Amino acid sequence: MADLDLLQGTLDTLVLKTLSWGPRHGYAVAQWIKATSDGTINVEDRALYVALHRLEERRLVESKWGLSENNRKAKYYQLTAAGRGQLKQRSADWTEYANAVFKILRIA
Amino acid sequence: MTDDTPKKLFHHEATRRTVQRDVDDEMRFHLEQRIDDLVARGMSADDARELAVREFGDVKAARAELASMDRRRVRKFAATEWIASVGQDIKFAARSLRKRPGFAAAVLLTLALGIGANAAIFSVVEAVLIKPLPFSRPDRLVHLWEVYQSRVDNRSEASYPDYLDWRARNRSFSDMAGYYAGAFVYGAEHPQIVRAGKTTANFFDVLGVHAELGRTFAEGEDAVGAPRRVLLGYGFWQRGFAGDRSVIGRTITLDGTNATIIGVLPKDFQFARVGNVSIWAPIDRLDRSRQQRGMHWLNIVARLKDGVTLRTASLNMSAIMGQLAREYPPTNNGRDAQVIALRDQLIGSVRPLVVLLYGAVAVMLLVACANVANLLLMRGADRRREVAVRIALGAGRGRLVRQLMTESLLLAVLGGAAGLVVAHYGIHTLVGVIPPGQRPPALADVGVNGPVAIYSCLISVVAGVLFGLVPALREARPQMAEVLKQGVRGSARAGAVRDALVVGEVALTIVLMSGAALFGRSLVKLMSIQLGFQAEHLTIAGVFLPDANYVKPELRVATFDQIVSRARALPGVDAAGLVTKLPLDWGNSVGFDIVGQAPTEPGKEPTASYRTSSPGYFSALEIPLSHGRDFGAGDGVANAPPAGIVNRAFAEAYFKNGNAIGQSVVMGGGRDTIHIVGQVGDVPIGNIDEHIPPTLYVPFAQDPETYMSIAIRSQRDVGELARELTRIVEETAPGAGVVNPMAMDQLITNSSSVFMRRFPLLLIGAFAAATLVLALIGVYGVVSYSVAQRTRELGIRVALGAQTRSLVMLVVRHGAWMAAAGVTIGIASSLLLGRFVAGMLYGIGARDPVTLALVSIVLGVAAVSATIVPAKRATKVDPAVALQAE
Repeated sequence: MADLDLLQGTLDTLVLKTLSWGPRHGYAVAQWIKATSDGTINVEDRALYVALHRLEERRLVESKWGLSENNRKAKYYQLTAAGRGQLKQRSADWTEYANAVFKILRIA
Repeated sequence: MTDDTPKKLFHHEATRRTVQRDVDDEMRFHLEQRIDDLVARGMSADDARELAVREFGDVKAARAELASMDRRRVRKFAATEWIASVGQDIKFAARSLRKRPGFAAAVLLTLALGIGANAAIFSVVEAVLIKPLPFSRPDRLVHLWEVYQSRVDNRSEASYPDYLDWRARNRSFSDMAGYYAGAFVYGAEHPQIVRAGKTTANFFDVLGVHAELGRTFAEGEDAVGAPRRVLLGYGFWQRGFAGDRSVIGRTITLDGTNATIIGVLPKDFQFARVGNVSIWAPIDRLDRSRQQRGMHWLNIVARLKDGVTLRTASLNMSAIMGQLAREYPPTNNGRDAQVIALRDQLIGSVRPLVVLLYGAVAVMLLVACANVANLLLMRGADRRREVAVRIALGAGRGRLVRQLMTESLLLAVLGGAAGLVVAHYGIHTLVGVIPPGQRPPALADVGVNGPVAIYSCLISVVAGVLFGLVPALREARPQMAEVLKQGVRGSARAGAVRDALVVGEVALTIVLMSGAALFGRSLVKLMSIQLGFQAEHLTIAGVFLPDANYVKPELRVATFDQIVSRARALPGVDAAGLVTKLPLDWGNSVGFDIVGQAPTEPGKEPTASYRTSSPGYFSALEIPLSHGRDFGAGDGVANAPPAGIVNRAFAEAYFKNGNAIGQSVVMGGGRDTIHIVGQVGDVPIGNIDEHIPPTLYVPFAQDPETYMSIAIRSQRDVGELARELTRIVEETAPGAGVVNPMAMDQLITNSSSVFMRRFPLLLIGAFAAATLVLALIGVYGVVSYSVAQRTRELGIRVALGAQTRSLVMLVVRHGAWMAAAGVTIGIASSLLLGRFVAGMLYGIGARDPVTLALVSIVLGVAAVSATIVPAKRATKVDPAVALQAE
């Protein structure tokens, strides 16, 4: 698995996780990831939007237009059933993977 | 951090056009929101902007990338959506058809007939007109004729010496070859006559045809005296030899002598000018025929050199004919050559007929479409409420039209599929109607094949659009408010469209009916031609003696005399006679000089059709003997003066007082002087609608052949007589045989002049009848529908005391008006289209007023009759019920 793929897959998973509590627009997703990771994960917003659109193309999320809290027209993303399933699967994979890596590092 | 749940969501479907705008909106929102947040935290506006953009990354690249991703997504989505919706449409259409089985059945039956007839005729068009000829590069092949004094109607085959000179001197052709149609007596024990094509050795090389098995002729095999090698036609090989591959090298008996099979021709090989040939052999004329420049018997095909046009070749050939005229003035003066494309030569004569039939089925299909369109319009009016509800529920007009068109196309495709079944049986019936002698070889394996299936698909779709579009557009018109309020009353304009369709149907029906009637009347005129003999109760057959055993002329005469005497003695036989060529059977012509008249220039001497006959032949056919006597037992014997009998045309053409008795003629080639002893009535020698030429008969004993036709006058069954005749012939002469026994009427019916009227009459008549039924259904349907629609109005009229008679008139007038308009347009169209059939009629003009009047009356009466049932229904309207109904 190439680094880029790992990163891309990771970003997708994080985006899906962000949307798991309900519909959000892109800006909110970006802010949430930055805030929650305490700035550790600091991707360009552009990459984030590419991820969102990619997920939409794969029908893991769907989008609707809505009004933001300050009455601006914003595009809201929301998980589809498939997206929810994907998130569950990826989370499990990730945990397993991270545990394995963590275990190895601890032994060494 | 912002509150991230939407205040309000709204749906907005992205399309390819809005994608870029949506991306821009989304990015703008992000950036503005970020700037606002940063400013709120105390950053200056400029710094905030700069930071927001830096955090975002390459804005321009993102803009393009996101838009392209979205575009891809929208496209993919649209495609799947479309497929799903088409599936939905089809399901919906199928369901709605199942709900109205009567309607669906009526439409499918109409379309199956319309498309089926169309496909059947198309299969003939495809086989005869479209399919390339089964030769290599057929467009480079031409046919050559000699023409006299540049008149195309005066053309003839080439003479052998001319052919050799053409071949040697021309610069236009890579090669040329000769052929003619002939026949062989095939077999020794139970001999039969088979059709043969006789060709120069290079014939198949010029056509570019290779043998399926074995080889074609080699150089020199067409020489005089060369051992006879033959090729089998594929069909004959299958029938006669069960496709045995070991036939090559086998010996068969042809005309009593041996011939070796050297090859079998491919299945698709056919050459229309010689018909369905069983055996191909090298030309077998003797030196005498091959050396005479005045004897024209060889048909020529040639292959143009690359880059040479028809016109160049024509000029080249004319130049050569000019040289030959200077070198051989007695035979070649005034002669020229004609070069025509082989394709035109082979199919030129059937093209107009095929095109005519194709036009007729096209008309029939149009009427079928009009009828279906009307059914759809009427059903549409019934469904108006349903459609209005769907429009009210937000179905777009385009979507609705598509839905309705899907239904029409589904009907069309199902109708087309049923049409292929109709076509399959139709083709076989159609080919079966053609007498074998008139059947173009190209029709041998005609049927529902790939091109016909593809064509049917195409016309089904075209038909579907044709009959579906107007009803769909009309039905999907948003007029819901009005409809929901008013209920299902049809608008006046919808009625006008329905009426116009019926008027069109009537007009097209008139065109077909008048076409059929013109051929019918031609046929009647043709059949009422005075044939000059009595064709009823006349059985005819060919009788041949094996050449090899009957070399001596006296033996031939004695044998035929015995056969005809025994035939006369059969029970129920009134008379019998022999002749070389019966009426309606072309034969040779001879040139001669008349004793006592100045000799004519070479090539311009008097000519006559020439046939030999036995005593009693004229009385057997009931050809009247107007002057002199018939041949007798004393004619043709040794030392008897040579006698001849001429027809009336002969006497009138060559003798001032029209009396030939006692005159004498000297036949070309210095043969004996013939004394004319009798004069008989004219009988057609070729087609019955052609001019009858001067004809000279001589006693068969004077010029005995091994093949004669026998004519037996009897009321008895043809089959029985044929069996008894065969027995007589086989007993009298071992190895002799009887061929093609049939009734004389049958021969007339199968002759090309009758066939060329009877065949179009049968087919166009059938199409016209079907079209008439459709048009009447159209009239009936529209009138009934309008009665049903006007129930309320009729009810009011009844309530107000309208008489039954006036109600009937109200309805009948509607039908009569449509019929009158249709008939008028139909007659005008028939007058315009007449010139296409003019050349194919006999004894009647294409604009014959009586025919048109007759057809108009028949259709007018039929159309008005079709309104009677709905008219009666109108009188039974109960005002109370009618007024309550809504």
